[in-house]
Amino acid sequence: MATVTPNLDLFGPLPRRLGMSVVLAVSAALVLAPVLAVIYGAFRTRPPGAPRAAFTLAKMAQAWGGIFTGGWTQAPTVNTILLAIPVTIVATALGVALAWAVTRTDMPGRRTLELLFLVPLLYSPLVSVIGWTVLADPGAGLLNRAWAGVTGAHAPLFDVYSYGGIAFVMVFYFAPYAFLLCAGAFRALDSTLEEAAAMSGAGLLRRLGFVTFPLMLAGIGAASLFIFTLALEQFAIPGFLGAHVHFDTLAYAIFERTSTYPSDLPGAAAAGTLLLVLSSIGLYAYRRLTRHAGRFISVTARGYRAVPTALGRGGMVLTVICAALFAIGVALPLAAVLLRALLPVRTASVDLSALGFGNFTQLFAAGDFLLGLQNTAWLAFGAATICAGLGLLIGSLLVRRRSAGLSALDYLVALPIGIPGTVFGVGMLWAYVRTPLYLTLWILLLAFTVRYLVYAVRTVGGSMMQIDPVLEESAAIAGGTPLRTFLFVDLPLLKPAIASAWLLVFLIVMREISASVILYGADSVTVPILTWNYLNDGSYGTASALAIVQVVAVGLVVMLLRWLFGADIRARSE
Amino acid sequence: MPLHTGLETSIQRRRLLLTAAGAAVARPLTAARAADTVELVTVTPTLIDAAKREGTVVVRYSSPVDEMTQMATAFEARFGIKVQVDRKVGVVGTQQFATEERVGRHVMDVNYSADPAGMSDLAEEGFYLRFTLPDALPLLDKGAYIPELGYCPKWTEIVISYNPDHIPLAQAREQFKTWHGLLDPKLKGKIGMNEPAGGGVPLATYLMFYRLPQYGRDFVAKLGEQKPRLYPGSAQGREDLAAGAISVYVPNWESIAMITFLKGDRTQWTYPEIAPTFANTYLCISSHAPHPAAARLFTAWFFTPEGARTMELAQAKPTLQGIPDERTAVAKLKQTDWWRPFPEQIRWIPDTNDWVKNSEDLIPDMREALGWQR
Amino acid sequence: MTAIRIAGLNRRFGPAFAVEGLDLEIAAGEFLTLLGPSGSGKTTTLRMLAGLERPDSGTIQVGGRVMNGPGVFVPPHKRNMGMVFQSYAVWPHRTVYQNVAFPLRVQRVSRADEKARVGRILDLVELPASDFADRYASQLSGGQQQRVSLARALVADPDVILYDEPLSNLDARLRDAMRTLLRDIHGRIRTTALYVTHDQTEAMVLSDRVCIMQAGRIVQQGTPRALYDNPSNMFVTEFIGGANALPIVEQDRARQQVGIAGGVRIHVANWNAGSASRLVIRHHHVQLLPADATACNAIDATVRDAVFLGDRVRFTLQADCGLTLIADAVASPGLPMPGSRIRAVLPAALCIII
Repeated sequence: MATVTPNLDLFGPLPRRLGMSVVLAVSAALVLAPVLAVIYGAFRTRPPGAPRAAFTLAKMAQAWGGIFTGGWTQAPTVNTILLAIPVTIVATALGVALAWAVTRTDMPGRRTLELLFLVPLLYSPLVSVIGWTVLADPGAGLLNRAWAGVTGAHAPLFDVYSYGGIAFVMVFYFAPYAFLLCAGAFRALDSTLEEAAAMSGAGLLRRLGFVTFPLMLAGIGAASLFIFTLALEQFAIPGFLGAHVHFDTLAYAIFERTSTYPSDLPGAAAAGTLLLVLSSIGLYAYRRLTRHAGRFISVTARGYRAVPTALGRGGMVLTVICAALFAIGVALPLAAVLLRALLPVRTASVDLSALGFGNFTQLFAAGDFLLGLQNTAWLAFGAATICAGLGLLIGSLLVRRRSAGLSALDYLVALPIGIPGTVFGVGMLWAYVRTPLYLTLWILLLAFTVRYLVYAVRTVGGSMMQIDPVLEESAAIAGGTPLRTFLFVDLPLLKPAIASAWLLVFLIVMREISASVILYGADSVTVPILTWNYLNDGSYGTASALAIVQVVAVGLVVMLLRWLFGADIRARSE
Repeated sequence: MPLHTGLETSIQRRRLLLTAAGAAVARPLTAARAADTVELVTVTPTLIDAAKREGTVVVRYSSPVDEMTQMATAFEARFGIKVQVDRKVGVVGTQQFATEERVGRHVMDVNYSADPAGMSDLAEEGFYLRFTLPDALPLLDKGAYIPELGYCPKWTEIVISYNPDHIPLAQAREQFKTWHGLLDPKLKGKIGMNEPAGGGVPLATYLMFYRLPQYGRDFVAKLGEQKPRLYPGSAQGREDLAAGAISVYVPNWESIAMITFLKGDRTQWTYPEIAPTFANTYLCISSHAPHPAAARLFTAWFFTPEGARTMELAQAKPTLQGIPDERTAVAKLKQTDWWRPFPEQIRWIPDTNDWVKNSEDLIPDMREALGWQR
Repeated sequence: MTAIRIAGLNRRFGPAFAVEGLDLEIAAGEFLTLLGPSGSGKTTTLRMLAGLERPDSGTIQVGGRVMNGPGVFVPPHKRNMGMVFQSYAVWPHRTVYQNVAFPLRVQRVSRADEKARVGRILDLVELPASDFADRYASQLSGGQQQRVSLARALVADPDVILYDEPLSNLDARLRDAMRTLLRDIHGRIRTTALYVTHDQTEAMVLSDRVCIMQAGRIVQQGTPRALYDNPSNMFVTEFIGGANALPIVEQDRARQQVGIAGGVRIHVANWNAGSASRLVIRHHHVQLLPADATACNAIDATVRDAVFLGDRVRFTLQADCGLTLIADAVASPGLPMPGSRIRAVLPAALCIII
């Protein structure tokens, strides 16, 4: 519980407290800089620094008023909401259901399935796009061809170029996040609460509805907020799949404003504030939902046994369902991408003799492949480590100390993910073009750290809430200095949360595109940027080969980390 | 998606008029220009020496990755000057350059940009060097450069691509003798097209329809009734055509079609009675290039016979006249039964003034004609 | 009448047996306690009876209905049992009323009936509905939560009520109060109950019958009194009450005498154990006489320590023969002081041979 121990000063003597304050103030400033740059830009006639630029309300009026008056933001805003809300609901439901099946039942094969469900975290949304294009183009998709061949039907089995198709692809892309964020909380749920319902005469569904899922509300809420934010700013999936059915989302329309002439960066910034407000509404809804946090904390300090729900013969059925979901949502598109990587050109029917490693050879021969790989690894390790460290500091202070400054910081860190990546990149550009960081890897590192810090703060803070302050007090009474107490008592207990936060940031940075596109320079190219460039060139084969290399490489890194540190992908988020 | 590949410009705005066609009119407006002089850039031993001392040239480009890699590698091998490339397509590149220059960060030497309209805007702020290439100029078509600002080293030649599994060669040649062949009712739902705002390639093509009496806006509206797939960029179109998702893809251009042909793509293309040929990406030099000599050498080298031949290695067709066509794709295509060389008489070179002056109003109208609602 | 019949019950965790070959019958209305240290298999047995754990083999019948048997497994929610958990397992996101009413909701009892029954049961556990019904579990103390848990287990009139160490998370004073409450309630409702604990006091206060479990087996069962008076082995002796256990060095069955250290011979009245390794006598059965008194079964000793425990005094005695004895005496004036010489008498009728 969020008990505050005001008489226990966590970080000791004044000089050190001052040092902490400086760290916190600097963090706040770094988080605010690009956000303020975006907001400033939204009130200018031309981009900041341009001649004849002046203050104006016109851009904001167009972006905001346009929603109601048929302006350029109207259809995209409606589409964005129509897409983000159902996708959030279904993806969360799917991820939570899978997390339940894996963590709370005796379903056969659950350990394997748990790892398999996390595979989409390893690849970028572009992989989903390539895979589903190959599979489910209404005329040429392999699935639809096979369907027509078997049934003789003319109508496609599944048309990925449709609202439903886009939503489907997004659901399977985002569901693993709900899985990741809820599996830990499910694991921490005291089994006896469910058993008590069973002993009260309630069957499985009744137990789930009355006890299990309501208790998971905070975790489910956090997961859906996370997915909602990602779905709002996702532009690759609706951008690629929605283009020729005229389905336009806000993130995509904003991207268009930054990338076609006449570019309208202030307009893009103004629309960026629109998305910021949408995601803030999500955050507010989440806070309201979980305002009685105590009712949701079910993890007692006393020992308990996590006993899986026995499913009997139903377990096998569940295994088949889960395996089918994995096959449809993950294995199938990934196999299609692998197929595309092995094909020099896409063909109507797959000619096995045409398969070869030409795309891979071409990829490895490209000069910037190794540089990109090296940069991406460096950025992902760096941003994950800094975020985990700062997240530890800020997250634990937020729980144990209460001050206006800290509460403000709690809200501040959530701002950067509310802005779409493209606009955030532009904000970073405006804020840092004068500094030596500009066009180096450092600006990317800074951008990723600032943008994803919130994940680490929330994960560590959530875990810190579950640590009874008594544990700290007893160490303090035993003569430990506050810092030593923290290192001795809290740090080991927070280790799983820190590992989760690290891994989450690591995985997200490994495939960040939208801000990178704006900020990268000749020496700071990354793997996602290379993929992006290959795709835009029409080199789908090379892009697919790169995607496969990335999945394998990141997968190996994750396995290595698990082996080295026992670092688990299992998050223990709030 | 976005689908602008580097080969497609987004010339859309009338400001281009000021610098491209009426450069002399625009110049007096620009206070930033210190002197009203145009620099003559030629490859001389002195320039080469100075460039080698600088050792590096920083290039921000829109063109395809492979093409630039080929050019950069050849340049490095020839002069021992490192080429740092940074791909920022079209507007993204020019806007970044503008942001830098406005605060005095001089990072970029050469901009190989598909955003001539944006370039023209920035030229007004004095960010681009006013230069000319006296050695190459007599050998360049007027459509291949924006005087004193940017020079395009390769042609973009529009063709009609089709999938021979859907339309046999003989039928395709007959049907696509003119663009009217696209209106065949059998092709309904089987056509892939780039949307008008998707860059210079579609814009040039739709503009041609609008300006030729035998086509006109009506023709575009009829195309729309064929329910084509409309792509924001061209990569998806070629991919869909190869997969047989569509039967025809327009407007494709020959050099990129040759690259996919070399990869084993079996799709073919044919030439209608008239088709746009135009300059898409322009080489410009920053006024405050940190490596001024290297920037000049790199740019001028593209317009030497050596640079032009290197360009052919990437299957691009040089604008520099008098270079024999030694593209590997051409050699291979000559052995096929379906390919014929691009017929020079069908070239339709867009009127830059018309394009720049009217495109802002034309694009929404073209979209409307096509039934494109977003 | 037998309410519960368990036969040949086995449950392994990995290679080790948690419960091995367990047979048990519980009569209708009986309050039976499984008493044993942690790891003795008592909780596993209870959970198998509840249906929360599946036995590897064996049968469980309740009221003639087979719950577990070859090819039969009745899931927990269809067994009509109530259960009180060690962790209370009160749902933190539901009010007291919602917690207690849940089993009735499941049974589709009418709302009016539900309200009345919840009110009655809350009164029974001394949590008047007027004060507590709308509170959330997070606003209750541990003792109150356990009462909610009890009310929830009882409200739907289960055939059997199961207690899984319900008092072990409570402090000593609350434990006493709850123990009394449980005893009162069971005196009234007489539902068949299986109670699991490691606390002998609870077992003795509450149970009609106690089964002592060790390593997955029942080692002895009987009324609390029988177990206390006639423990069949050292484990039971130690677990119930505690006692002096003196090694036997020679035995003379004919004369009903055993020899302990230093050649001291003790006469015993009852000698029913097969082997005789130890002479056992409860602490409070050791009588202390002055050093010069004459008596049978007397051991000469020096008082090493005397601890005042309120109602009694606990003496540690150093016997001349080298043994150490513990003796409890009712606190009263004139008890020996540390250092004084005494004679410790082990009355023959109270000596147990194990």
